[in-house]
Amino acid sequence: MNLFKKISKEGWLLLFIFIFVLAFRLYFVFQSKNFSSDEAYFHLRHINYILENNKILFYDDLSYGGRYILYPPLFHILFAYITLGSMLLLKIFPAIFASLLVFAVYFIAKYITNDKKTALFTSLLASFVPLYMTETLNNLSPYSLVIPLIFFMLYCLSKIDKQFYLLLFILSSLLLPFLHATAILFLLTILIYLVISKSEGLELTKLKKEAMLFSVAVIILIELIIFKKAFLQYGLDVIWQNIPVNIFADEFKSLNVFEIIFGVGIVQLIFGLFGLYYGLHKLKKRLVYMTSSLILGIFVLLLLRLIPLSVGLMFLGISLAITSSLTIKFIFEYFEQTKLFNYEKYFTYMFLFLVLFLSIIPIYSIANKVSPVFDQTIADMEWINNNVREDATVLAPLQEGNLIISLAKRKNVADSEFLLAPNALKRSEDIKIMYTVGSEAIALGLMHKYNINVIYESDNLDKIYGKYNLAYLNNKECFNEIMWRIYEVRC
Amino acid sequence: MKSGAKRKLVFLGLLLFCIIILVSPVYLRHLNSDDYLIGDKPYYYLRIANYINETNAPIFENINDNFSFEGREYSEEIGWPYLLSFNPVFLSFYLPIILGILSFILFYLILNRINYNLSIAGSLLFISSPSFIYLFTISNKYGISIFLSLLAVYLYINKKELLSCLCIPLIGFFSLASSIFLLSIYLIYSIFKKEKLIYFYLSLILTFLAGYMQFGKLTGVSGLFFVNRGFSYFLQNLVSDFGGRFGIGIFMILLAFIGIFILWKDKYRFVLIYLLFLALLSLSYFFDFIIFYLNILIVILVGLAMISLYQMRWESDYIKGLIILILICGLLFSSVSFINRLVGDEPRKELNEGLFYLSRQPDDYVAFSHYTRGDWIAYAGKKNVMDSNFFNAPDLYGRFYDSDTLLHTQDINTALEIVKKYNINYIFIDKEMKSGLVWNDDNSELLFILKNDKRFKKAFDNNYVEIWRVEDVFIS
Repeated sequence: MNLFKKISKEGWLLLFIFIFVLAFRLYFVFQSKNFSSDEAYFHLRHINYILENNKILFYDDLSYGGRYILYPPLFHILFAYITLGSMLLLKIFPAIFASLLVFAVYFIAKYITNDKKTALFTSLLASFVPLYMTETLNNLSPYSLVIPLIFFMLYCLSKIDKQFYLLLFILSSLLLPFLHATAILFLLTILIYLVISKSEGLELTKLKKEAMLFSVAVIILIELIIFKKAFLQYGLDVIWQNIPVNIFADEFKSLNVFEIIFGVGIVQLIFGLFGLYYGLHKLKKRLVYMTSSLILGIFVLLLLRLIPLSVGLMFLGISLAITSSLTIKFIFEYFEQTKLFNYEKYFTYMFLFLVLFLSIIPIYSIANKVSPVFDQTIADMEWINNNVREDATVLAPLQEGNLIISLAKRKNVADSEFLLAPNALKRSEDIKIMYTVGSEAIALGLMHKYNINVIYESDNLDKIYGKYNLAYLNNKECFNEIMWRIYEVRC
Repeated sequence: MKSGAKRKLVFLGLLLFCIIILVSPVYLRHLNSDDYLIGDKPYYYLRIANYINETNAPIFENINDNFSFEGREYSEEIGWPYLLSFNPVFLSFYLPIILGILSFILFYLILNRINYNLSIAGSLLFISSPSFIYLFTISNKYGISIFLSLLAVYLYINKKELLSCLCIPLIGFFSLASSIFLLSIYLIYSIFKKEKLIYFYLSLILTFLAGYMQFGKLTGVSGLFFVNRGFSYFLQNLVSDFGGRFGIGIFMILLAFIGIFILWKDKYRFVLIYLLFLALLSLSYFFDFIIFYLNILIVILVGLAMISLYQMRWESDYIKGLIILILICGLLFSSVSFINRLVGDEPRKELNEGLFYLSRQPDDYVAFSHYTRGDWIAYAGKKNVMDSNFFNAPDLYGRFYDSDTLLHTQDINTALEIVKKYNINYIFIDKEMKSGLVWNDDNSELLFILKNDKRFKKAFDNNYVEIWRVEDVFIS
């Protein structure tokens, strides 16, 4: 009981925001038994492999017919052992982790503005950054863990002089590169922060410099070890992850205003930019510099197309949500100086309504449109798993390749994990040809090339290829429909 | 223990470490039954050394290389093959190691003159740097050039200027470009230090003579002096962890910047070092071998950085310990990773089986492959269409264009035309060529033609190497 008494009003409100965000996420999570993306099934395969074999999957004999996989293993290990493969927990835990961003942002905003109310608003805003919400909603994605961790690390770095935060920062620096390659972004943030601090004459404490040096060194070392094979094969081109050119244009899009508005959120963008200007020119606080270093780093990476647009906008949105705390504080302070100060309570409600109206409601409608993988698709995969011979190769669109290896447990021609994938471009083009060409001779030639035994006529073919043409399936001698939309190649 | 005895013990420890590092790639390959020289270039020198050994060719006489580019005159520096010719196979394996040990000793002694701690840290870093490992485990002309460069510096700091300046033209017999590079450095240093230029002029004349004796006989000079392959290639080549052939470890580069930062406190005192660093970095964009010299400078800077990081007062001892541990791990990672690459490098047993098959075919046959396989084909006693020795190569661009066309053509007539043009009898294909070096799958372009045209017969296949015999190109 004493513990509850110790929690302040703001503490309860923060907890309420966390529960609200979590509930919002879980509402969508429980709409379907399935995840929202094919990528989630890539992670599911790795998690299940760890549980079944007690070791990490380095060589996947199903993906691309057999290839090496390079992926930081901690996310898979962690989820394997905290969920024990339970689908329910695999859906709940990412939602919990993603919602933890509320706390990280609250502490950062409170540190910057020294105002609890502002910090609460900021944490709410940051949790409803459109791209962050949609990318991590009902999805088994490392970003749900990595993004809160990175912002937590920024907070720890600002309070590094306390032993507790120093230890947390050291631990997080060690864990981050094992979770995801985005750790490089944190490294870049530190480097930009060092340059900005020097140019602005900000004196950094010795301990902070030491902690930053440690973080840089450990991230580089771990990333080098994990991605050694890829570095040797692609050199610096590893940044583009061997993504085929036809997909590269979609993933690494160049910046445009509408994408930014939709990805970041209109409130976060306007308040964030003003806050950034205000923070850098008037306040000159260290944590503002740190956040702006992250924003600058992301901008540079996005402009040079070195980072997928969706990832960049996620970080950008949250960073701008943080700097928007300065705008919120500015507005509240300004309000205090006017005669309307007596109506402060109503003003706060009005502000909350604004956030609700411009941020949460639009996201609700966007989230409603994020459709999970169809039940029928999952049923098809399970049917293949139970009825198709084990060494078969299944033709499916590249965008559903992970479903084939994870649920159908059969070889695919290609999937969206391109790093170290053999002939990713050629294979993705060949898949498209097989689904669109209509000519039996050409399709069969390619099917023989990849030893394809089963063709899967996905629901998404229209969406993926526009017009698809599987006219050759009418030749019943060569293509036997063993199940609705599943064909066996006989010729 | 007295400090003198302790220092000797430390030196012996470093020497042992140096020997272990240099011997390990050869030994580990031996354990894998891959008792072959590493890479392609050593086979080129070995072949020329064998030729000199067998024919007792006088040192400055024209050597006709019958196998490279289907026959050409030998157009490289003569020093290294001549040195190897006393016992070509043995020296190809072990002379680089001996030169490596001697270079380490010289490097240690040079740094010892500056600072004892720096000599230990610097030597350790020098020994474990990928560039050092490459230079002194693989038979190449730059190993001895670096050794002689270090000897020149050692003699110079010991006031033996005449002997020192004689080393520079001597280097010219192994790598004329290195010699010219050192002359430039020597000139700038002499001007900066306001020293007499007499030794420079002497070196210049002798270097010119060395160049003339070797290259004056050439009937014409053509081909590529250097290859500009773009910024991305430069970065990849510079950093060994990004796949560079003999680049510098990423942690070395990071620490070098810390080293520069430390020296920066004295601003203009070390201006020559900053300029040298920038000059070497820029030159290494055009000339690969400059990376070896850049490595020496970087090793010294990293040594300074490491000593400074170790000696400075840290706010947190945890972090100090962790950072130093991580840096050491990072430096070791680059070395171990590089040694591992050398151990797995070609040629290995399977590839050698293919070359052995080729070597049993008639001598005047021409074998075609990717140019990076040219030196191996020539070592197997067959003429290649082209190899990686571009300098003064006959019709370099034409051959490169034709080779590329043949490898990537889908048209049988084009393929046959090129086969006929160069009288190709065999086509040599290995797994690496099919895994990204030339093709990304095993059924496209030339590979498709080979499999589907009866004028090409598979003569050898061990699942790693395929050798196709051209039956008769004149059948239409």
